[in-house]
Amino acid sequence: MFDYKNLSELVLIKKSRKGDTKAFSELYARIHIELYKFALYTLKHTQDAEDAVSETVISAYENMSRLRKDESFRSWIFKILSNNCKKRFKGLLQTDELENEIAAPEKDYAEEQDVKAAFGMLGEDERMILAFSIFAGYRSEEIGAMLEQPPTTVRSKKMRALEKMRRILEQKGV
Amino acid sequence: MGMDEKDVNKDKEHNNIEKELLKHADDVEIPEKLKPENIEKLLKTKNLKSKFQWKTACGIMAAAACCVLVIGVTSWRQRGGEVGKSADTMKTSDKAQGDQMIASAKDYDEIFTYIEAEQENVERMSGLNAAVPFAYVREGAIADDATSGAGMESAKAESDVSYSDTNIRESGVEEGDIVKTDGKNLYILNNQKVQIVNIETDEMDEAGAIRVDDDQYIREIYLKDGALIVVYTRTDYTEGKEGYGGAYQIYTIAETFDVSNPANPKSIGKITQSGDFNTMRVTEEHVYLLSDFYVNTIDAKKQAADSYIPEVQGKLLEGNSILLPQYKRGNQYTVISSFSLKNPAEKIDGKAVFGGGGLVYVSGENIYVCESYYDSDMSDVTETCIRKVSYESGKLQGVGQTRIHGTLNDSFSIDEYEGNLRLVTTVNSTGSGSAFPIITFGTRQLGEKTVQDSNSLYILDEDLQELGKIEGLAVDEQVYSARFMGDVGYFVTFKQVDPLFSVDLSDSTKPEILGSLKIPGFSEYLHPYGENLLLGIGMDVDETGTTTNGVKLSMFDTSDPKDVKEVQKYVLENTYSTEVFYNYKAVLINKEKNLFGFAAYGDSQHYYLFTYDKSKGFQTIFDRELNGYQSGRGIYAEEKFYILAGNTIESYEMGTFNKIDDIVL
Repeated sequence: MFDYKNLSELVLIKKSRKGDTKAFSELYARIHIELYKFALYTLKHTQDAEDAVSETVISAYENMSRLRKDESFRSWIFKILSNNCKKRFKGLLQTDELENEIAAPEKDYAEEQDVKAAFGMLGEDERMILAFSIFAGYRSEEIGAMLEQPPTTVRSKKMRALEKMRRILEQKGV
Repeated sequence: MGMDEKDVNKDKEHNNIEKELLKHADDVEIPEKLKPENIEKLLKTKNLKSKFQWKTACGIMAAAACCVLVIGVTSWRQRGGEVGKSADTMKTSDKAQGDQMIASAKDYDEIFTYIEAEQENVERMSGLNAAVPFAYVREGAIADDATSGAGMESAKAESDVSYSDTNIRESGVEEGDIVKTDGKNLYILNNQKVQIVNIETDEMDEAGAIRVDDDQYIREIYLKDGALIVVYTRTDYTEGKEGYGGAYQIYTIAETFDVSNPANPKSIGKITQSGDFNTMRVTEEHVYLLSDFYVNTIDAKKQAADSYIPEVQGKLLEGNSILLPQYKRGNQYTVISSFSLKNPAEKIDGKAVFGGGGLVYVSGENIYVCESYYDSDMSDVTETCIRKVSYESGKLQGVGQTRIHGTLNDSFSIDEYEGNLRLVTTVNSTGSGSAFPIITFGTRQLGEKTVQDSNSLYILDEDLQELGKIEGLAVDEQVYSARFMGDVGYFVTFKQVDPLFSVDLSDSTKPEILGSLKIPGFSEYLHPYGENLLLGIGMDVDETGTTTNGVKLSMFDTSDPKDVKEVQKYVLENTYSTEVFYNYKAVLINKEKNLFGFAAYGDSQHYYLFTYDKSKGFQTIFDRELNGYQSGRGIYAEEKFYILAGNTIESYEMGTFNKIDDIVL
């Protein structure tokens, strides 16, 4: 039997490609907390985050053969997850205004704290970039690669987002 | 003066906000279903309650995994027997009349109909659970993978100074990189700066610098005859109404500096075009700048041409400069502009290849844009759409297009030689994947495997008409590296052991497999090394195909292409990867000096230099740990060797490799 915990990523990827679910689970285990935090903060709702992550896991498993040789599993699966989150944003577009008027039945996760509330007021793109940077620890270059935007764009969006949060918190007198 | 006090405070506050957020995220609880121990269940279970699509997706997935196993067993036994057999099980896409006629757009409205088709497709796809196609690739990193066809000498001699130059894809077609030298100075891309370091004496000396604005990002530099081209990208932000719907536009700029006096570099002109930098090429005095312009199909408006048409030098390209794809859909352009180093402020020509973007290969006379593509309604297998744009003295012209089976591994899998185009592709069923972004059509779900994966070789004439082909090679394997050298082509496929195929291309209508050599591991990069030798850089893998033992050097004796032999091998213990696998520019190679080198990753990054001797094999003559993980490069100039990584340069005496100096920029 293989000791999956000690196998290198490359070997786990090769095994996953051949349909080895244990190898895939090990790849996932190494980053699942980051994935979930990212989804939760980007999408704001626990159910949405759970759905986005499980969809991501399934697409990643199915599409392991598309993982390029120069790409790490980590940034690849994050890329799929961010696409899944974007897809959800699009689905929300029409209902967005309504939701603001009528309190959503599920509690906004971000409302619990002021910082979280301020975070929740950011745009989708801004939340995603901050989540990438803060919860997944990516540099602007890496985020840029995943979102297909030049690192400069990512940097300026991040600055703008943090500045927006700063102003919101200032208004609230925090 | 630096930032004022307010800015410093803001910075601190931003930092605090980040810390706060991170702290608050600590108590996040992972839902039961997403815990690692439950993931196998998630993948295996057939009756997921919440979403119908998952059920479908899982069913397909299980079948696909099973299928792979069966194919694996049978194809293993059949391999070799499959060679040369044309895969007549494949349903050939019927090539529409005029599929090979390249066409430009009548007007912007015509282009917009393609954008609309893309919008509809996006809407359709987002309803499916199957992975929505997305561009996996930063073209800049891969598409310009390259090296010269036959001779590839990465050294220059100017007066009596000899120095190394960037490893390139095509002999005679020069490329940019992150470091350059003219023998007197080193030019180094270091974040927002290009730094010039004088190396004329033993003591390296900072001679000057070029800095770009904070919101700009330098991608590559190129140096020729005292002119330094700095290619950078800039992002413009247009505020939307009431703070919503702001739009970001990306531009690629090639700014040329006169660096004859390094202490005072002078800007002598720039070319600006839409899109993110892809690659650049230089022949003689002419520079070709390529960028990828993505259309935000959601926000594109028919009336606002600038929302979906790329511009060069502040002007939208005319419809007749935009080449339409072979299929009716598109959301990305490969923008190509040209200028002369004699007048770097003015463009000579501008064209855009519209469609889905893809791998770029530049031969001595033509630019090929190759898009991975599949339409499960039309063909069972992945295909590549190829468009050919000729270039001469800066003038660009669309000359032809075609579509072939399979997708390309990198730009070494496509090669122009005496007017003909040779390609080696991996043909997947439309259910499996490719290295490059795929344009998806058709309604079949991903994962429905109907055809075995295999590899094909095509030879096309200058009008891209098929002259000859071999199909059905190495079933269930994929191409890892390729190298065409005149009348012979070599390519490596991998599954468990590494067959190196040699192909006779001398009769274009009848390419023939000459031989195949099976060795453990695989080569990711091939480079001719003197007469009858071919150097492979790859990974060593044990017999079971599961454990990698390190980066591996192989020397193949090709004196008899029918019987290629691995005559020497060397494994770099405790290394797991090198940038060479996806960027040929990371290799320093000069067979005259019997020297090659690259940086490899292990517990830390090391730079290695090797020589090769027929009897002694590979010898490491230099091994130095680098600081950090930024791309490392080696350069030589006269009798000194330099390693550059991040902001650090070290110089060594060639031969003894005694350290002479270092400098931290």
